Amino acid sequence: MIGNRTYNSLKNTARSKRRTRAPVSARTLAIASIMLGSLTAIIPMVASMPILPPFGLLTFVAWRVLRPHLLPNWSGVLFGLFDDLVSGNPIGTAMFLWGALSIAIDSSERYFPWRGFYHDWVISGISSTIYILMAAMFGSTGLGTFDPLLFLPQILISICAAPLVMRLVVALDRRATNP
Amino acid sequence: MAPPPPRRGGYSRRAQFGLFAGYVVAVAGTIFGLFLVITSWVDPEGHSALRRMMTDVTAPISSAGSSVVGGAKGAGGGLSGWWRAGTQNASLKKELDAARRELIDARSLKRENEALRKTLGIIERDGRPVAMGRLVASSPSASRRFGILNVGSTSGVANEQSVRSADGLFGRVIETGIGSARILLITDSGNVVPVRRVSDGLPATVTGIGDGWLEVRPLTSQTGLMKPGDVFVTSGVGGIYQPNIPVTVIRKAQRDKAYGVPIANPGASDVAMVLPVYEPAATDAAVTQAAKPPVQAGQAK
Repeated sequence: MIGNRTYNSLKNTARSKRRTRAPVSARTLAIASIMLGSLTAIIPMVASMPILPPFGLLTFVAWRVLRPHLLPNWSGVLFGLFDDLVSGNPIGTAMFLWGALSIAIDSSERYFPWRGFYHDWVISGISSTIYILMAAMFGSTGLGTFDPLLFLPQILISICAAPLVMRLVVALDRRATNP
Repeated sequence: MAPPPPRRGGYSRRAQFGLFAGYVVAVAGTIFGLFLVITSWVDPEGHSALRRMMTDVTAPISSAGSSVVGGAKGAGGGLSGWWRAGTQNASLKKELDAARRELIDARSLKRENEALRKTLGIIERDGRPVAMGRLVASSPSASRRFGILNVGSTSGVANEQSVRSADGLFGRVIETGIGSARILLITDSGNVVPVRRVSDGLPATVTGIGDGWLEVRPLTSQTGLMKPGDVFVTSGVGGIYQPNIPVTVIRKAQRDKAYGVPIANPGASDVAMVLPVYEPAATDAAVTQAAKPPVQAGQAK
């Protein structure tokens, strides 16, 4: 798919043409895209098993690995609150998990200063796996059985969807920095 | 990618303090989120107030979208129906004649049943629905199987009422907002429905296992009781679900349990009826029956 070099060059490209469009700040686009990703939980689709990847989390992690200082550390908690309200998980699951994942990604940056596309993909995959499994654990009542294998298709689809979301976020970032 | 500049803030004490405060807020917010999750286990009532408000806000959006989805499905069905109309007509007429005969039989049996019940003195509450709505959305990415209904407390919906389509049972209401309600579908693992088999009244319980299948366990310890094709309806035990609502059809049977599919399909944009909570008055009848002298065999003619 997207190779390492192409991805890096897309991120750091210089402006080649000057186009006259209204300037949009990257922070606005980041906030709007993450909230829109969380809102995919209310699309009118009735599913018999959890199948849709958590697009809010994927977008949030994509913005984190692309522009680490764009969103502050505590923004994970607020985005998590919005995601909980929309998706129907107990309020606090996404607040806790997105906040903890955001702090974990931040501290992992110390040990891996040079990151490429595949490293970002691994970060996104691990984050969505941890989020899906722990949100299911928080949401289970103890009456039914918690079967991790049930979420395996959702985890695989999230890992495959991560590069698509990262490509979209890169496109939004280029729109913000190349008015 | 080049390593990002560290968030040290340089030598400015104000910037460093701002950075420290940011970390404090992040960790405090994360712990607050964990605290909220724990309160959802300990005190579910207070926890659900905020969620009810959010379903009230998002249900109209899902409702508009679901009518578009239903319209697109209907257009495709109409075209394929027109294509094979000729041959279908003949076979449908034959089916209609057979069905008419069976309907007459069924109606006379129903009348006989009602007469017998009146004789025994059991009063069954009339199953008139409290409200009629539509299932507008489900939770495709969450781990629990919820459905959102677009009628709420203004229409008389309350918690613990059961929801069914014309085909069978969907689930029960767990949260009610002003204009919307959240349903726990029977395919969720936290939902247990007491049922009985249509053919012989074998009692069983139906639990969801989270992937769209239902697990049916009989209440006796005898093995090998169920086979594919058995239909189970609600039995009225437990007081929540009205009796005789179709629930599931068995597809795979094992020695001590069986797996079935729900008869009602929540994805078919169907009308959903909200039924009142079923509290059988049979317990009252049993008490008064015990007080009367027993009926002699010769008198029951």
